[in-house]
Amino acid sequence: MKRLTVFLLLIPMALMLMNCAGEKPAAKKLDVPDWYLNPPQAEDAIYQAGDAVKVSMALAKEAADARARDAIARTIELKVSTMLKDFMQQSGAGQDAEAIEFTSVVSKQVANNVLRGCKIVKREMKVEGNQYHAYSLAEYNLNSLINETLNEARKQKALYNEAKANLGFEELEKEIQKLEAVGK
Amino acid sequence: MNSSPISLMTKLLAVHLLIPVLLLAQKQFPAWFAQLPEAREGQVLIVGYAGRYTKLPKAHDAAVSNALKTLCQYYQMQLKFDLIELSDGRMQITNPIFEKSINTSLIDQFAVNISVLDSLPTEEGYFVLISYPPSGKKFEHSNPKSDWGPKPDWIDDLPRQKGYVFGVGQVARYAHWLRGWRDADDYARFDLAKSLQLETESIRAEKRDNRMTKTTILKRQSIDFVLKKANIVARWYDQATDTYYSLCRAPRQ
Repeated sequence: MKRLTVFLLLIPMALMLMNCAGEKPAAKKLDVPDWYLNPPQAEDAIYQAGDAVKVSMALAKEAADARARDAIARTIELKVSTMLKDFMQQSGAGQDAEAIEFTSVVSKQVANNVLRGCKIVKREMKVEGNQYHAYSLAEYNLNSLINETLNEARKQKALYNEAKANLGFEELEKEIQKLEAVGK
Repeated sequence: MNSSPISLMTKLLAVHLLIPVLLLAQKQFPAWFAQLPEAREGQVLIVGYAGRYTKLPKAHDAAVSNALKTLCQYYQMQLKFDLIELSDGRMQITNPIFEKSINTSLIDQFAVNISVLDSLPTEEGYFVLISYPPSGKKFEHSNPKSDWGPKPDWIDDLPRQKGYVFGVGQVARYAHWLRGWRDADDYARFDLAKSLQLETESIRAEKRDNRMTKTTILKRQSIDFVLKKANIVARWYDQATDTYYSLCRAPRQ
């Protein structure tokens, strides 16, 4: 009886050791589109991905599209805003209320405008239980970003003049041309 | 092995519920419903579809009426879309609103100026292909198809064609094929409009204490747009997942 008990106790231990000695289980690959984890990169375009899980397929697609587009808008707004803030700082008008307003209005409006040219170029839909997981990839071509920013800055020129910046508006226009490097 | 009475009842109920869905599923369709033929210059080709009627002439009229409404939409439709999403880390509420307005006053004028190029009655419905203005050319009659073929590329990668924009609509698990296509077609139109014009607002608020950061995001995207010359050019149905896909095309405006 004693031997039987020892034998029975040894079985789970042996099984545990066998399990440890075995090959490591392969890491389970996530069922996520490659372009979601590693969005494409281009010199003249920016890409952002979005995803959403919803019971309705149509709603999942809408939400994923909206998130991808929002990510593009935020990237553009941040880039334009940073560029304008740096420029205002250098010209000595960085903290003026008018300078802050000019920077905010221009960057927000540019982000809004660029969305008109923003396209959803890839989508994938996965079924997870009774829900749909939608993935969307948004693309924005940077070719029109400089023109959009120049046009918007010109519209808000009055605000710029009120900021009493030491540098002329032509200097700002030159700085805007550097936005070409935004996707690099 | 005997089933318990409850599981047997569940199975019977499932079969009972499935029968109407299977009856309302779409089994046949004309080739031009899945892929619209290219129109000649100055010609517009539009597909119309209707459900099952006991009398064929009524089904024909309903399909032509549907095609005429789509023709009105082709020339001009006002699309309003508003999506508000609130997320605070714990929950996400997405509330989209879709509104479509069509000027149907032109229907009577169109009705006398079209020709039905082809029509196909099937077991589940009636399909017509119309031409505006009327076409004198003979159109090759389409036999009913029942195989949708492999998944087209445009579902995952939007087509790129110079001078045109595209939009994809997709819906799933509809009890009736008619509603499935109607909604997939409309979602494709909205999708296209969103790539032409979109207004966005986004508010992010971050609240930090010693241990954690709570982010609240309020996002809004909207369109109020008149879409012109948008047409559904391709459709695909995925039988495995009961999903309807529509591809809409319009010239860049």
